[in-house]
Amino acid sequence: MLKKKSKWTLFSTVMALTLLLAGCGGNSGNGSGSQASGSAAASSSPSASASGQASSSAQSAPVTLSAWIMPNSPKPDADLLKVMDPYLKQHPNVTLKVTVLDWGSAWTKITTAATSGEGPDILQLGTTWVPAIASMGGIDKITDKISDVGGAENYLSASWNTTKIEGQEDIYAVPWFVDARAIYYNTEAFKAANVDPAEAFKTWESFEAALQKVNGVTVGGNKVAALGIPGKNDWNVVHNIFPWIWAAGGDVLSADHKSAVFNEGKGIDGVMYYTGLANKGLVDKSSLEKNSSQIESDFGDGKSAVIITGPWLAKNFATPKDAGGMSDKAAAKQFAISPLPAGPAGQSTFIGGSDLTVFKGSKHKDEAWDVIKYLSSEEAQKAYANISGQLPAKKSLIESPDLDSNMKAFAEATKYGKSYPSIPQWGPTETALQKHFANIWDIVAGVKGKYDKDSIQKEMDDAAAEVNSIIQQ
Amino acid sequence: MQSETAAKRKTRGFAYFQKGFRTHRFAYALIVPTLLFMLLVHFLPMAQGIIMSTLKLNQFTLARYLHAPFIGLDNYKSLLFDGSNPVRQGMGFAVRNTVIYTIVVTFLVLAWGLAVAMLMNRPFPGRGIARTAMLLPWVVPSYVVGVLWGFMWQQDGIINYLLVDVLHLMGEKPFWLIGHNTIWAIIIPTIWRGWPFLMIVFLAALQTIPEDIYEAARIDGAHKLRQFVHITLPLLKPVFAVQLLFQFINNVYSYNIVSTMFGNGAGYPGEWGDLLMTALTRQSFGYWAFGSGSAASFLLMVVMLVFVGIWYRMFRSELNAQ
Amino acid sequence: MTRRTSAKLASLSLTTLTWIIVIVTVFPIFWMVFASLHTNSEIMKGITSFSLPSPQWSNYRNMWDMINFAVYFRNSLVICGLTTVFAGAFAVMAGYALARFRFAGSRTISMSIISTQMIPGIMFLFPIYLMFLWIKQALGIPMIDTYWGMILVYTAFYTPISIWIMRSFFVSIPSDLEESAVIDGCTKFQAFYKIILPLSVPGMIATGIYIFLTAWDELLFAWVLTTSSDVQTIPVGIRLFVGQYNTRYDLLMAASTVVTLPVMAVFFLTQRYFISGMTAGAVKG
Repeated sequence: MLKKKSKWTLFSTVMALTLLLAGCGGNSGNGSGSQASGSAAASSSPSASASGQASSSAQSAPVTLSAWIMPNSPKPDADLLKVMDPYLKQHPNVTLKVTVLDWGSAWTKITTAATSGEGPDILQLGTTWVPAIASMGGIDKITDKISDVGGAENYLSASWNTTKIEGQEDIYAVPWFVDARAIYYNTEAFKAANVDPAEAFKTWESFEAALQKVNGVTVGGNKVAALGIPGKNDWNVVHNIFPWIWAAGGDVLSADHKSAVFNEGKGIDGVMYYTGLANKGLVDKSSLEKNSSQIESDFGDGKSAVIITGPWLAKNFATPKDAGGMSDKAAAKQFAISPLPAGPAGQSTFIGGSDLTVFKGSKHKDEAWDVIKYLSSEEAQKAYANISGQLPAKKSLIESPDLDSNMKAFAEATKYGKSYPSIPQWGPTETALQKHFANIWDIVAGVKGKYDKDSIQKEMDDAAAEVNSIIQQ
Repeated sequence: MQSETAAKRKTRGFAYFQKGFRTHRFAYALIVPTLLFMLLVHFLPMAQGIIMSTLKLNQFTLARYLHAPFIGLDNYKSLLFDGSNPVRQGMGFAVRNTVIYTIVVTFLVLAWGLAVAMLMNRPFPGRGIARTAMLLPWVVPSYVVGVLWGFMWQQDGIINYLLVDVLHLMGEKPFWLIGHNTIWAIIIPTIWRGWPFLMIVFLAALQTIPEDIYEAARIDGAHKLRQFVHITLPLLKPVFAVQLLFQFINNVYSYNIVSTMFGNGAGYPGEWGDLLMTALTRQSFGYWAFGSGSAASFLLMVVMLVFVGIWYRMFRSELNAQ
Repeated sequence: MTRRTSAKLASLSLTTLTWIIVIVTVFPIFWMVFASLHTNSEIMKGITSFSLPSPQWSNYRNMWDMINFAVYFRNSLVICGLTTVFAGAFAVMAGYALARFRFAGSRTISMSIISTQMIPGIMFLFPIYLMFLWIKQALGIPMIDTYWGMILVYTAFYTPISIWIMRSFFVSIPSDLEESAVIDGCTKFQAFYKIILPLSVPGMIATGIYIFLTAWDELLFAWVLTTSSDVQTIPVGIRLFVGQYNTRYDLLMAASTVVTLPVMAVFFLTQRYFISGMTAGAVKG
């Protein structure tokens, strides 16, 4: 009997400990500010109301806005609330409730929300998702309000293109931040190989020649591979390949968006050039199993001399390891950034990022728009770009001389940047492309048949056939 | 004529039911809440799912849901006969992988579970600790299993280190997360998480077999293998039947491990990693082919019911014996 | 070699084999805990060394800080806990009815309970979501993104298997117990309530653990049916360590450990009942 009793005591002790553990977490969350709980009421401090700066909505009834965002920054919900703090102080009636969706399930969740109209007030959408959700009737037209956020001329045309449905005039979204791709290279490796970076990243020929020279040099006791490329298991499989297709003179779809053209001669040239770098031994094959995060980490360790990724890595190199960053890594102090080399058709890169939209089912559309307006202000744009390590969406900030020097290379790269056709079927199209491009990386890695132009052509043709059946539906 | 007998049968059935109801009032009282509840949450949605499979449901019509254009059996037709249907793309791989995965996992989980249960069904020092330790993988959530094994399978990860650098079982480090090895990268973690439960079930069953049966067999001169074949296996057959069915269903409908192991939950698991459930989910939400997706789910369900029918015929006597 | 020493040797080698199996089985769990004490970049590099010069205990602090993991933890405990209670109650009632009474339709009911397991979850997902919406519009009861919505769905999902487990448990209890109780003047309900229920506690614990662990593991419906961190469960929250731009594998491993260990502890403490429950009847199928 006693034995049984003591067991239950032990049991309840463990339960109590578990709850305590959970409770502790809650406390430490609170320690970093009430924001961590996912929502924050703007404090109705006297200073806020006394400032008198509040716009008309400040005097109106209390309103709770919900926003769905993705994990864009290290502490996604708290970071957004930090950026929103000045606004919330001025608008004590507004409470912002932030929900973070992970990229894996966000698409599923937003699709169901868009069908039903049950969702947030403010919705972050990946740039390629806007036309799809717009055509489902999930988000509001904001065509007549775009002057509030500065109008089209204040944004990169590649990112502004993502705010509408191709062939239509209406605007559905406002660019929030921009993601572009550029080259990060290890300056020590280039020094050791005696390669001049200024020449190396000019053209495809000079790029390949430089990689050949850098391949295998020793930096800090490590033998480096020239290039790190993530393969099938990355979540950017499609974005990793299209810059090369564009630079070769290929395109995604025909001008009328009725058929796929990426499998035509020039597109294949681009794919062959890029995958060829891996096939020529310039890439450590083991990287083809990894994702972008792992490739970035390898670059930080000096395992590869060149990688192609987005602006966030520079921020990551400045973040201490306790916060999940890589400032302690060798390459954190010996890297530089350059735009991608020019192919036969000139320079190119992928422009993505995220847009902000007003959800159709929202009951507080004016207030939601007001928040988006604030997030599009230079002040908020700058603050969020700093926290997230992304490029701001506003042209004035991208072109500003105060821009961080690392970001300047990205700003330069955006000049040649392209985005995907803004068609409603892009979601399914990208799903199909991801599948076939994944197969291409398997071919390159040598685990799926022989690598040659025919096998790549065949995979690209399969992809084109599938994309055609999707867009001609 | 036919309807008349049917009607007769019906009234007779009803009378029988009425009488049965009076004698088994208590049983009905116990089971009716459950039945109503199941009807609400299983059969209503299923009926909707079947209706969905006859509609043209894509991103433009989804908002109209059940009022979307009715297209009869077109979804089924195009699924079965139209090679260019996007939903079909890659389905062949998913079906093949699911067949391999289900057969291998189900067989190994049952066999290994039984083998270890036999090992554990003998006294040795620390048996309680060993039993608890073996059960631990079953407690690890499968979404953790996917991520955890994803790390271990990396080419420069711990598994290759142990296989190549420590045990020298292989010449060079293979890829596990790309190419045809992927199927093993999903099968092995599933077995790892699955067999402990079977072990405990079989162990429990073994302990209910009275020792004197073996004693008698031993006196008759039966050696261990004969005892196993003629005593243990037949007595375990009912347990085996039920666990076979549950394992079969679980493995055909397996989703979590694959979806969390590749591409951070959003990627394509590859031609050797894709399973029916990951493919169907991608097709429904990735291609917005909800109509075709429902049609495919329904076909799958019919196939599963056929299998369960076969299973029931095979094990009917064991299931009714109790 | 004498017969006895060879028997001893055989027993020793079987025991050794058993312990090798234990080590191989537990190794991945050890590895999870071990990995959680590394920095993010060490994990990404691939850990192949068993030494740990500077364990990163800070991961266990930061994981609560980066996302509000405590809330997800609480939600999972509430949803899975209540699901266990409700599904368990249904299972006890229906399982008893099916085990003890041969009434009209009892076989049909048994088979249709099993056939609910054949419905692919993905076929359910959209209809359930829209049914929940309809309930809100028609009856004004919010279902999506609520505890009871999730509990309802999970209870429905895990009731069928639980019925089977409980039914086989009841079958293993000799029915003369109730019969003699009824002769002594008990009603059927009293016989069930006073005699059978106390005897079936191990079976209920076994079933309960099974339900809880299965609910704890569910991913797909939690993704779609919950939209705010007030209701989202651990499998949803834990994915937030995976960003598109920066993935915190260190925190992911720490969170995985935190998610697994309490369940292990509870399991460890209740496993005696679990195993006796399984032994008594859950095995009969």
